[in-house]
Amino acid sequence: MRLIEHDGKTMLTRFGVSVPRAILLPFDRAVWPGDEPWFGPCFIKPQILAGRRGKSGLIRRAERPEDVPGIIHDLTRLIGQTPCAGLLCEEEVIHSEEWLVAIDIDREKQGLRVTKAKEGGMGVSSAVSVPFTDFLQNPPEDVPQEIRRLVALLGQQLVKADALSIEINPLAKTVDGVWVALDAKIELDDLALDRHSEYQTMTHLSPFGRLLSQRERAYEDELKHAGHRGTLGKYIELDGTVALILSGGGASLAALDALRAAGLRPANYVELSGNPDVDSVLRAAQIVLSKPGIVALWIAGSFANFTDIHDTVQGVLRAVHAMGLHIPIVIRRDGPRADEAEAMVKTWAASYSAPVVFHRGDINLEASARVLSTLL
Amino acid sequence: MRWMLANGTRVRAGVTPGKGGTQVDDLPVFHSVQEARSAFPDVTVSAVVVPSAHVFAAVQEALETGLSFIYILTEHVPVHDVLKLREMAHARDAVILGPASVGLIRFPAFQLGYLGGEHVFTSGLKEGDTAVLSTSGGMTNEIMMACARAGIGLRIAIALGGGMVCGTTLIEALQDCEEHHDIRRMAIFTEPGQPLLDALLDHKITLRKPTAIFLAGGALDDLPKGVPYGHTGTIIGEGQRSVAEMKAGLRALHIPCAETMQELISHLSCL
Repeated sequence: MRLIEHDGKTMLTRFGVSVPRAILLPFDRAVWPGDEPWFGPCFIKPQILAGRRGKSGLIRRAERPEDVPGIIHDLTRLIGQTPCAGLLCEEEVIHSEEWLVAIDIDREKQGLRVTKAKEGGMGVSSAVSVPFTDFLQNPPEDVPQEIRRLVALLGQQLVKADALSIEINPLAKTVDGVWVALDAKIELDDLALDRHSEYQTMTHLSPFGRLLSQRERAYEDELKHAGHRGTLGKYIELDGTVALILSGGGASLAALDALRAAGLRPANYVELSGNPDVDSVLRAAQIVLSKPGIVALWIAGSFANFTDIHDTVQGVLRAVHAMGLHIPIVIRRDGPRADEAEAMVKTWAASYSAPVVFHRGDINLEASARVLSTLL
Repeated sequence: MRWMLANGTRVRAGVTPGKGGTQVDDLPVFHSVQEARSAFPDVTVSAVVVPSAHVFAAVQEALETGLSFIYILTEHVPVHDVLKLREMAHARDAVILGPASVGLIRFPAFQLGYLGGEHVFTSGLKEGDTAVLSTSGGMTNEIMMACARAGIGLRIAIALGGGMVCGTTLIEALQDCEEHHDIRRMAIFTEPGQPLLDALLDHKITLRKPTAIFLAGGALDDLPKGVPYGHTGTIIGEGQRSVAEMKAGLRALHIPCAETMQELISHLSCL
């Protein structure tokens, strides 16, 4: 989960890192609040997840409180439909030095990594990364003592907070010698959110640059903890017309590729994994199939190791039946109880008004997608 | 567990705190790993299937009692838990497979986890000298089935898990397999975001045995970026190579790169 700047700065404050004074104006509040003393020239920064706000002209300086409404009006127009959690009005901090300091996970070395650059802000060309442990034991000579201490602190806090990355760019040194974080980009580990109740109050913006649809929100809310023997993954809406119910992380990618090769376009991405229960699969399928404009359904996955094929296919077909749909359906699945699944589908299809095809594991994903395209 | 036993794996005992003294299918259940090891000192492997919030403690316990191979079936284990477990394992020269691994099979008769199902050694798969490595459980199975149909014999197949951090990474498993004399060639299933791809393209590592790669996810080049699709480690970030670029780069290095199962088997047969 990527945090908006404001939430990131709140976390940094808790770690003991200085941040500028700021107030967060709700998106529909276009004036400086009457009960807040003006703290001098400030920067108005939309709380969106997109990077390079400065380069996109989305960070504006307000000299006086009267400048605020005009700036907000401009920014609102520029932001458009991009999900925005408000406007951070932050005091200008006069400073003499800017650094980029970041900690994240090096996937190749499977450990923490520190990235630093002596010129922060919008044009960073000289960033250098080293393993965290190397940085602590052998800090680069040009890195001031305070930054070394900050890096050590951030590394420790990153682990405690279950964060995947913390980036401060720029980290600025004020005229009084105080190091202040002028921006904060923090990403938290979604897999660990359950053990941090304190994160519930943080703002959760969709990373897509568009708002979540009602169906996407419903899927997220209703099916987060469904099916304890399996997972129902994420439901992502796309702009095609073939509804997908996919199984297997890797197979779902191969299925998307196969669909594209067959000249078809997905209405959604969704990936069921493990062995989710029938009722959860039913509910997931109902959401997937409720998107307008769907012309076909492809239930596809790999040759399963322990998923009950009969039960998962049955869950989907129950949804089709309950919703009174008449679209062609192709199923490409194999694994435990696939024989029973095939027999069940044959019976079910006899009273269904559109073609239903069941492909077992000897028919590969590409061939299955091609068959689907012939039915349309 | 029943499948593992039927396929020749010597499963000795189960561990569930609070259920010590009971039995499951003629196997004794113990209260702790320590107790199980005292009763069966020859045990070296533990399979961990507890819910994700408990995996860290369970694996730590197994490592502390001296077990040298820990297999984790459970998915969605927090990244920092896995990082810490990796360090603990390295400090003890132990190996962790997973999390989110459906297991591994090794001919002639060893099955760990669910990989290949109930009849893995008796339903067409032949013994041979090919290794299958995959970040996806289901696709490991698919490749195994395709190899069986094509008459390609296997030595070992391993599902490594698709997370951002793994007990054993694809690179680590690859380099380990390259040390084995009874493995002649490799088939790899991988996804965007896997460090092996950039490491090969940046010439940080070279392949030491003939290897064919099935890189799925070309369709992701046309979809919104910066979001994981499927596995939590499958993500194309800003400024990273597209899947099309990676494929072109691998082919330029004369590494056969397949976009479909048919292509993979065809490449593999020529190696």
